[in-house]
Amino acid sequence: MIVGDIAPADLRKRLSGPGLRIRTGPVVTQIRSGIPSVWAGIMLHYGAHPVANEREFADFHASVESPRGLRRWWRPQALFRFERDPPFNPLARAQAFPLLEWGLNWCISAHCHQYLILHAAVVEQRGRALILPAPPGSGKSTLCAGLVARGWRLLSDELTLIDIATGNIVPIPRPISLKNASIAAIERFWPDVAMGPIVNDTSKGSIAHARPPAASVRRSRETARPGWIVLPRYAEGSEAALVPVSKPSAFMQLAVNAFNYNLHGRKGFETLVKLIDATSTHEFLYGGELNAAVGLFEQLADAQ
Amino acid sequence: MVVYDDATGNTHHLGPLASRVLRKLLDNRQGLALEALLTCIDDDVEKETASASAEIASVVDEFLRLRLIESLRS
Repeated sequence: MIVGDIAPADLRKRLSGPGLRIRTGPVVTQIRSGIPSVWAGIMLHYGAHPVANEREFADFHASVESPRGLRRWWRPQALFRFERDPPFNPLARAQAFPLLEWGLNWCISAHCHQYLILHAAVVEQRGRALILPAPPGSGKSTLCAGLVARGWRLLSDELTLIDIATGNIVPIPRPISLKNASIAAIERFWPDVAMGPIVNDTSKGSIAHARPPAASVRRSRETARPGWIVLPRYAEGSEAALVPVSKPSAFMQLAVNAFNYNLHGRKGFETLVKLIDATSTHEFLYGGELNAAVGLFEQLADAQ
Repeated sequence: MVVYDDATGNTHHLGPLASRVLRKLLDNRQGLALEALLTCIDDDVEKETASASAEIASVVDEFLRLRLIESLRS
């Protein structure tokens, strides 16, 4: 059963009652919320995700609820809880769905240490993964959405999970988080995109989420071999260009962009060495011209 | 070159000269006198000898500080 098979009224009942267990890649999360924008977000973005059985183990129990007290009515807020504890401060209730997404990212990056986790978008074509590690603001989610719009499989727009035993990339396709000018850019570039509502005044500016393609979600169990590491650098007005970057330099940038590299010690180092050895490494200068950017990545994939 | 230090868990990104120095030291695991190291690295370095030697000595000092190598002198 997938989330989209559940009637909206039943979905709301489950989310506000016992919770709904959703499988995203290798992770099962039990989600609870009584907030209508969270119900709408789950219906829109997680429709293709499998529903886990009630008896199945849930890796995480998460909820987004209105805090008790006056804040329920006066400037209402939303509070994310993980295993009943709130790891973050509450946000305005209008930000409830982005808060759930940020919370789920945190659950994975802070706990799934069976993987080496990079802060990187990752997409796949012909079995090979293109990894885009970068700090926020570098345009990685925009590029990721642009590539997905042109048929690349979405593995993740935020978290690259590397299987330490095999070196392969484990998919965890979830909504693509877009910010500010990227929202309109992707709506122009990807006319069929299912975009959620724009949420303004978040700590990251205006946020909207693009629904992950159902085909990517259905292939969540198919890992991908690493193919390319591309370090995007957004520079307004610059022409799209792929420039080879040395492997040691790429290594250090991956290590800096990893959530748990140090935690893995020597194993983490060896996993990154294996990743770097298996990929071609590039820097990507990018001025916001998505057509040219996606064209360059298609050439890169065709050249292999 | 990137190296991982098991003792500290630190990762170091070495420049071209530091990489060459570390490779020579790894090729001579029984130890290498500084003078011998300077001679074999100088052969590879396209610089005038006095300046190259100072740079190599500085790399060795940095390796000692990072505890990537240890001095066998008492």
